Amino acid sequence: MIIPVRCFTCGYPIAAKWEEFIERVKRGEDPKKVLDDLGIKRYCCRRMLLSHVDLLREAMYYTVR
Amino acid sequence: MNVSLRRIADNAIEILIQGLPLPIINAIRRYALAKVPTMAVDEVAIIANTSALFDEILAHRLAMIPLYSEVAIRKYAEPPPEVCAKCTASEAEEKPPAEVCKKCFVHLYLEAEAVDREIVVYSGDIKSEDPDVYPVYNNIPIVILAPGQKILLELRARLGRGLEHAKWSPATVAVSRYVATIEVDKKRCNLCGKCVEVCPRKVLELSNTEIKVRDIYECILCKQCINACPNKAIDVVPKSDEYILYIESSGALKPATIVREAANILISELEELLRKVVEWRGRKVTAQ
Ligand code: SF4
Ligand code: SF4
Ligand SMILES: [Zn+2]
Repeated sequence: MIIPVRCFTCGYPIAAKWEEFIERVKRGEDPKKVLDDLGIKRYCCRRMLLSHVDLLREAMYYTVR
Repeated sequence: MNVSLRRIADNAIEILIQGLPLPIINAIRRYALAKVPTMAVDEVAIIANTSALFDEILAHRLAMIPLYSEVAIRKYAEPPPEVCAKCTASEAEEKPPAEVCKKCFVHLYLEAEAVDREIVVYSGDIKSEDPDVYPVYNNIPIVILAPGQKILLELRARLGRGLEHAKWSPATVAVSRYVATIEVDKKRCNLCGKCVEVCPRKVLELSNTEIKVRDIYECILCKQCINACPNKAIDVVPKSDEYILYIESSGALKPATIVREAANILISELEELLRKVVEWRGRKVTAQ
């Protein structure tokens, strides 16, 4: 739905890096390089960002009254 | 005993410790995870929430946001977090008086409304009553609001410990690891370079005459080199009196503060034990 605040495994606050990550990836940068630049070392944290889809942006319109 | 700093960054510290038994280093490591207190949101009053996220998801997300706690761990130290825990416990067993509870909570507010376009509500939008307690990162998305949606929340944060809930744990990583001794039997080694190739940490280096160790502290004792060696010429063994302590912070406390606080808690617990033992000195032994 929305990027989890922390890594499920280690608790690293990955959400603080989400927007920079997704903006740079959308601009065409290699996700590996962006993750390295952001200093996200562990693969538990890396999968959090790599596998996330912001579904809330779509789902939220189904609740508007 | 010999202690040296290997690396220090904003959010992590790596210390090399010589001559201290592993159980003590391990105690400090565990206290860093479970006993050093920090601030975190513990109660959320939902005054309005027309967003697509449920109230409890919002509350959970808010609790996960690291709050700056360097000042708070002194300022709100009394009452101890154990007493605060009783305050918010659902089962009503001997709650502390209300004036005690008032002293341990910090109030924060979060209000946002999307009028004619989507907005993202960030941790930086949280307003705190105490200038010493605030979200460490300003750019954590809390919720996205569609036009017409709004939230109005009142948050109460208090000191707590990782023992009670992981949101209060100041460390995201707290590990101790061994330091290796690498021995290469020169008579057997034919300088094939296989060990250099497989080492994931690039610890080894091939010179003309021998296998050299670049930085022994980088070795993680994975023993890949041993497996790769066709001549059983290399051996890696852990040292028995040298360890590395690595602590990474969630941001709530500086990594050095975490180590210091963890050591202080351990010391005060040992002092308590010592006090008791001294008290008992001279007591007659009575058969049970
Ligand atoms: S044990 Fe692992 S890290 Fe250490 S030197 Fe051998 S291959 Fe490298
Ligand atoms: S793999 Fe064994 S024989 Fe080959 S260089 Fe390394 S230690 Fe020497
Ligand atoms: Zn992680």
